[in-house]
Amino acid sequence: MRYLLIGNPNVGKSSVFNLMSESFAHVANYGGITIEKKIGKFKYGELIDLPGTYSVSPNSDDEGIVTYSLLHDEYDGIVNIVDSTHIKRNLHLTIQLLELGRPVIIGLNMMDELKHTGKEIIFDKLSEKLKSPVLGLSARTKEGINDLVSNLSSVKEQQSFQLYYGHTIEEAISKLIDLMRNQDNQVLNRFLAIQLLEGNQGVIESMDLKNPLKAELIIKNCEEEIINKKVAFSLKGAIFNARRDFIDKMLKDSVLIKSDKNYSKILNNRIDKWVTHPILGLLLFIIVMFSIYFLTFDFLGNYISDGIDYLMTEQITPLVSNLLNIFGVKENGMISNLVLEGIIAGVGGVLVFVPQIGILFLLLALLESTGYMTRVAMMLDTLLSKFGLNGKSIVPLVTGIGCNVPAIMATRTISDKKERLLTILIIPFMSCSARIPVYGLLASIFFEKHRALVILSMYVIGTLVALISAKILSLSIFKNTGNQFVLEIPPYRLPSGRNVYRQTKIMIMDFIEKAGKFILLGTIVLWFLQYMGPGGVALTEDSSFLAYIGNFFAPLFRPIGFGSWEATSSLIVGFLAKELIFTSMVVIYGGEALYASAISTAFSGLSAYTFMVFSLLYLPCLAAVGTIHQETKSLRFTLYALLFTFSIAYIVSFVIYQIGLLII
Amino acid sequence: MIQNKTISDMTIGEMGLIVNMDNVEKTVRNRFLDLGIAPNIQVKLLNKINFNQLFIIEVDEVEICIRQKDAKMILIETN
Repeated sequence: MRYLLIGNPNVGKSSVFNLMSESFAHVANYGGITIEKKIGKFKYGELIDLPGTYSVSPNSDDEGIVTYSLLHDEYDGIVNIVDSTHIKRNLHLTIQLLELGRPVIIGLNMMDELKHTGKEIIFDKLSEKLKSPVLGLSARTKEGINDLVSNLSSVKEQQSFQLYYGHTIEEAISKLIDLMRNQDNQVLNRFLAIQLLEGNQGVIESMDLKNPLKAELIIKNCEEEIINKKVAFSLKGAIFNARRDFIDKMLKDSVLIKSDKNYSKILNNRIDKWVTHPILGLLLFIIVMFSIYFLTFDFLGNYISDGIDYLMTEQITPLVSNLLNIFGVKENGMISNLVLEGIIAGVGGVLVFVPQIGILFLLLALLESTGYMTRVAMMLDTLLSKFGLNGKSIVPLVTGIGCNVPAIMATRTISDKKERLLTILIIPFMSCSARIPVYGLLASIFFEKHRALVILSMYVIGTLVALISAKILSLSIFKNTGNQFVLEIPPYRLPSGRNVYRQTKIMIMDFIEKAGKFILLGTIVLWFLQYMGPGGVALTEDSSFLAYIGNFFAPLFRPIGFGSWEATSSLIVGFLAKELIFTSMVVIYGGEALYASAISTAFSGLSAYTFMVFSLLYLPCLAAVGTIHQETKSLRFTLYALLFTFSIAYIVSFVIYQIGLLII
Repeated sequence: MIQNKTISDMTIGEMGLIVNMDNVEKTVRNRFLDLGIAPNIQVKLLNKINFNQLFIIEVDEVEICIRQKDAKMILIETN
């Protein structure tokens, strides 16, 4: 059995998904297929978790995925999760799903919260009117989940559900159905016609119209008639009204109002008055961001990282070295070098940072699950608008601090195309976790006393460059963005340990998987380029392939302070994955034992800092480039992004270096 | 009593009935419909933030944040 999990945003769909699935796969295709799916295995088959949506008609790219899945995926039925405390609005989507004709099971979530609002639901009445099973759940208390699962053990055929939309619209529906070539499935045809009348362009392909232009005319005439006869103010409005009337009537019979007080709402509003206060709210946000930063890099993260570092150098490396000896591998020979200096130093060096990255991901996940980020999006909307962005951009931008790849995907929630592209373009400037190793390396060699401050400056520079380039772009190429900002504010929720744990685990696993793929491969490639040269095994550092390539491009970087082949090669390899900048530096500058002293003589404090800035800004990593292409489907835009980030990186580094030279 | 009033004219805590959304930009208007903001629906103004740039309204128990320029286009009726 396979079921699609569909519902409004903020209804606890993810919680239900997590509770129902015994195991899950996070299928995030970085290149190739466009749809990112969360597939969970449950007792009777598979659950596919789709993005939250208010309507089958997409308002943003995220919501377009739902239309696509509904019409093109193979599935046995739909599980519609509804927030029982906001049932009126949720049911609009439910009606659309019922009109599709596929089997639907409705799960009313948050029943525990409903008790606090003084309302009670009569399930039988709802089930009768909606022609589908309706179950009560509470993801928080796990109530009802087992019942839901057992209901999915077999698929019941969907009873026919049809809403009457008034004479004008019904006429238009018939006319549209007549235009469809395929008359096998009348229920589906009616669904498609209604969707098209609502403005869902995504269904046109599935409609297979004999005459698309005539369809447009039918819709236009229908809308005109609606307005002229004063049925409603627009076609979509008329459809909305018909559904609303049905819902109102149904709820009158099926929802009992026992008391009028809604205590949780009153509390929420009080908290929000402070959280969104212009001064206090902003202060709170800055405090929260700083706390995340210090927890990750200073208090917790550092200790754990140091611990792993100790493990690697004092325990694992000697252990492997001994093992190699036992197997008769020549000491300091090619294989020994590859394993110890290449793979262990390289991959190990990156794994040392996993604790810090894990803490960062955890804190970001915690933050988002409380609902706080929505308040932040509101507070910052006015400010971000001045930079040509949208308040909603804050979530992708903050996600970018963890990893640019999911951040770029998170822009799907931004409905305006231009705003979305603009956000994608500046996300690479947000300092991601992959850049941390390079900062750590150089900061500990050159700025030990002010380490935390120096690393902090990277985040600040990244954010500033992102905002300023957004401003510049919005004045030139991205003029006149749509500026749509309509945000539903969910009530504050205590983060669900299970959800946060799973979300963090996914992100850490993705990161380690990337380390496995890109970094391991990159480390071996790097090792090869560095170990071999045009004349066989490279006897000296500068006769290797890497040196040749580096030397070719090195002059380009002289004006910004690091025109050496070593630095240049590190940056080139770093394109594969930014962690590799760190790995390359360690390997090229002599390996575990020698790199620290070699680097301290090869760079000056200023050039080291400039190198850090350049590493921060220069190009999105290969995975990010792949994601940009996947999300925009435009090779041109992707190339533009590469050119743009490189140019900005060069200019900023140039300014810093040259001014630095003047000052020092 | 019918007044020519918009959401942006409301005071915090006031309730009104939405009468007309014609002047709201089409894509925003569709979005409103998706969220349940439509003519003939009761709306309550909960808060104004960012120096009156954003309005927090409540419709059918749902809290929604909209921009001032859109709030100015939603005509309401109060008693």
